[in-house]
Amino acid sequence: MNDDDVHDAKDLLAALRADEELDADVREALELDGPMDDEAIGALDALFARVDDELGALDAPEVPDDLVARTVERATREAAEAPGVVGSVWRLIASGWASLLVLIGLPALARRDRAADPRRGARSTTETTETTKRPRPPRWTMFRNVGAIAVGCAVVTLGVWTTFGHTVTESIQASTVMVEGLRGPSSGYRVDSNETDDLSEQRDLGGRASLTDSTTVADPSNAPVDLEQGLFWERSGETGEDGSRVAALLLPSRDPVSQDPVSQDQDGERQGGQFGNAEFQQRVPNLLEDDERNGRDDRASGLPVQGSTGRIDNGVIDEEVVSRALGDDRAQNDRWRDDDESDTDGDALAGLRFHPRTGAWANTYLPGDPAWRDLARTVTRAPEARRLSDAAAPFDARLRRPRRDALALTVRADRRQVDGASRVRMQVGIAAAAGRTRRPTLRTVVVIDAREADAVPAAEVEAVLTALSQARSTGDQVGVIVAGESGGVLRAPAELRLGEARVLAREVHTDGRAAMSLEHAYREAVTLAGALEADAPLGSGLVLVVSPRLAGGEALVPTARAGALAGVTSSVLALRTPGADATLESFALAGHGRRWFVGARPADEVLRDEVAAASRSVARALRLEVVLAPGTRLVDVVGSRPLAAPQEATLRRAEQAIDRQLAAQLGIGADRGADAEGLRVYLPVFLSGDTHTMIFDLVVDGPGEVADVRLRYKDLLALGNREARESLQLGRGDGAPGPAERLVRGDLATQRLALALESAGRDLPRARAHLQRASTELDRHVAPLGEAHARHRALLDHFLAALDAPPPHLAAALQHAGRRLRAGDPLSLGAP
Amino acid sequence: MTQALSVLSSADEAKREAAPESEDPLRALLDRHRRGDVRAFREIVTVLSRPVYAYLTRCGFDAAERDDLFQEVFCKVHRVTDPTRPKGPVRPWVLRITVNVVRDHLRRRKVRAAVQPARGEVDAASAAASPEARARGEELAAFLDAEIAKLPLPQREALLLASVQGLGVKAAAEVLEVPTDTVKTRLRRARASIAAAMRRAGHVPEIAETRAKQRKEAGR
Repeated sequence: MNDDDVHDAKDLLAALRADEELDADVREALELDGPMDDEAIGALDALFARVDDELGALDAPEVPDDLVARTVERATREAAEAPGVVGSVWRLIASGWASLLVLIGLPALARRDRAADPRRGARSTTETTETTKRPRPPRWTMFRNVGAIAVGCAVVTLGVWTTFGHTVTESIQASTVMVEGLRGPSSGYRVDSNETDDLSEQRDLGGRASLTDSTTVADPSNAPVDLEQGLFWERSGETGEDGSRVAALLLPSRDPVSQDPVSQDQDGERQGGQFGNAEFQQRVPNLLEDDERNGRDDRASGLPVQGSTGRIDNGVIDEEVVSRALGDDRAQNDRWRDDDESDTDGDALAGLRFHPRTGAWANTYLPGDPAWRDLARTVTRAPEARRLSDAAAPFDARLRRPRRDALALTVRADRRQVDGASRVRMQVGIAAAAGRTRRPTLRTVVVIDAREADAVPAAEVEAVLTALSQARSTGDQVGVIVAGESGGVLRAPAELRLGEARVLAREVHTDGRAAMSLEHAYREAVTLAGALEADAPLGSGLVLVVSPRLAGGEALVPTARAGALAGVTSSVLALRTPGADATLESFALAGHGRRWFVGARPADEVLRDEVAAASRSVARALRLEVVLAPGTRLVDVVGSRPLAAPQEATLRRAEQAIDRQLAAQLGIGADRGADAEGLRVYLPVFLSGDTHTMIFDLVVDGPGEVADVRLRYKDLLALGNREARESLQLGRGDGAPGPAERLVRGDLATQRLALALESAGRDLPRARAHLQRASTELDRHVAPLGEAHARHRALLDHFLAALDAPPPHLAAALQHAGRRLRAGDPLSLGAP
Repeated sequence: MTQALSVLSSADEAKREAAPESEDPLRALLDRHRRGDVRAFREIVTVLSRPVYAYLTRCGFDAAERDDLFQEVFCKVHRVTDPTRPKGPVRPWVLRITVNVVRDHLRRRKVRAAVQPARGEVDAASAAASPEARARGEELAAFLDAEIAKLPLPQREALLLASVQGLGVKAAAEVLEVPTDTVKTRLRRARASIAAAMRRAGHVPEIAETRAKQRKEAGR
């Protein structure tokens, strides 16, 4: 110990001795009141050195593996939910006026009060003199003055808003976009992606779940339809993989009124029925009125749902209706096939009919398509059918992936050069960024299966609820319902704070509540999850059923489908070892959700995946515009169909609604006016990691410019309007196709095979003929398909063999396989 | 031996804080984050996760609360977009946010001291009864965690920042926004409390033993 140390130790001992606030027991333990000799100083010094050693040696606790990732995710999410720049500026202006009002108004009021109060007024001679000199104003005058100031402020604000508001907002948005551009794609500022249009006229379904009218859906391709009358059929309220509402494109190729097939002459003018005629327009409101009349309260099910001209009964899609709708689709596809079959070498130009150079075409990118889910559910129940359809895998078109933006556009053709008039297939591919997503706020209701024979252990309940509370985002709500002998609503949806999970888990197995069946509990959950505010993001309702095996789960399927139609996704967390389970999968498919096996993986991991699965949107309000060069004519868009004026008007309204909503919520400038040109395809949403291609069948009159393709979209990652543009030119000559051209041909062959499979599925008696034609066609594209050829060949052979002894649900398997070929498997039910 | 006394001297702290701002790698990361680089923010969280998590753990919060507060701290860091902030090094700034988050949390919950031992329910008696208690190990660490969690909040803050986190008195004073002398006083009391508890629990020799040892050493 050197002198300095002794000195410091002495100071320390002295300071401790002099510290009167030091606890007596501490003084006693350290023997501070003893003699202050060298021994005492040394002993204290040694003691403190030891304490310091021990404190310094304390290990930093291990940070949980996923905490950093969750923190980053939450921080970026919360940052995005902060008010935008525009909102902040206007709030600043408003608060400025409010402050002014308070600063001017309250002192004025106080002065008047003082003046009116004789006791106060008498405090000073001067004031007394003033009060005697001037008449006291009545109290209402003071309020009038303050009111006048307030009105003045409001008028000035209104004046500023009306005169400069638009300019100010645009400027702020422009600078925001600019800043965001500088910030790059991972700015971390985001918006909930799944909000859809605010045009919804939600019909109250007994104050609980709701279906929406035709103008409410995210998929703009929906319009009211009565299939029996050949009108457009509405399938609104469907929930996609990302929780947003999407719907199948089930539009007839027949005139809605005359039932005549729509045909076009060489110039592309419509003949036969008039899609946009007055009669049709008059009938749509009538249908809606019929809906109102047909609305009923199905008390037997306990879930009142309004029907839609009998097509949606108790919220369940009538299989027959789906079949009929697909029949219309088939008619369209057959028409396409006929065209193609007349063109045996694929390049003949004689006898071709052309579509107009402008107009809207149906979107073929339909993640979460409910009709597909129905097919998948059917196939799930038949192992053989499932085996057949699962063999279908899409062709990898090797599209360009985005680097910074949410989407990338690829445009190429099946030939590089032409010598004269030729038939050309132009592939337009869209690829989304993978791994970056946004998610909406969720209103989750957890159904705990605590039935006597099949109860969820309290530890698992706690794990699930804790995981939910950890995975929550700002605004998320969680409710809990228990099914069992002592069941009921344990907790209405509200923010789930940490710590509450334990309390709730303990309460699950307490007695004293009334019995509640699983069906009843689940219906209640769907109702609670669907009871969203009118302006709540669509697709934010989620029901999680936690059950060991979901015994008797088939009984939940109708309600699951009804819930899905009302925008409530249902998933199941099974506490069992992973494996195929028709009940679980059927329920997940019906509820447009997923099924998970909690036993095999930690609950928090599963919950994270579940939440992530509901948040795959990277772009909204996509509009693909294809402007054909002079001399280029359109034969067809493979797998799609032209839309009539009323249909496009619906699409435009929906697009503009999304546009406005994103502008208001995210500050992404509204940019969708009436400026569409060329061939147009409207896509409501695009999901992370997905790719999609559309093939335009064209005839060009020679080399040169073929088309200019523009993709406009709302980038939810960079929070801005984005535009990708590509053009296609053909050289002169007759060169052999290169790799890019082969990819287009391979994609085309795969799409044709897919359509053939779907046609076979819808027309089972002639399925063999469909498949044999497809087989011949397939063998003409061995080179372009590459490895995919063997896969497709095996698939076809399996189906041809299956036709000898058709297994149950072969038709569904064929259609399901066709869809899988065209779009991969966006119906993911969740990993085991 | 001077380690204990260094608490009261600011030499180390001055040395620690002498690093120029430009050399602070966290500052560069923070700037990148503010330019929109999410990876930079992730890196900041990764680098600072241990001190922040350790602070929260030693404040006695259970795992769920700890995770929540941890996220809250970094959400606040994420929200600060003013390029001039922090004026000084990033680490103390983040720790200041952590301290404030903890204070707010305790105030909100009206819990004056969240005194749950972070490593399980180890009390002084059980620790003392253990034959391994005299050696530094898991048990002693658990004992210390429990004792730290029992300290009044101001003392706990000072001890955790200045000693356990290694910020030093001056930086701790800046983080806590109190005078240096106040930190010294709190630190002294906190250490005295810990030392007394260790002595009572038998983790360190009695004064008499120490004195005898010293006498022996002096005689030699």
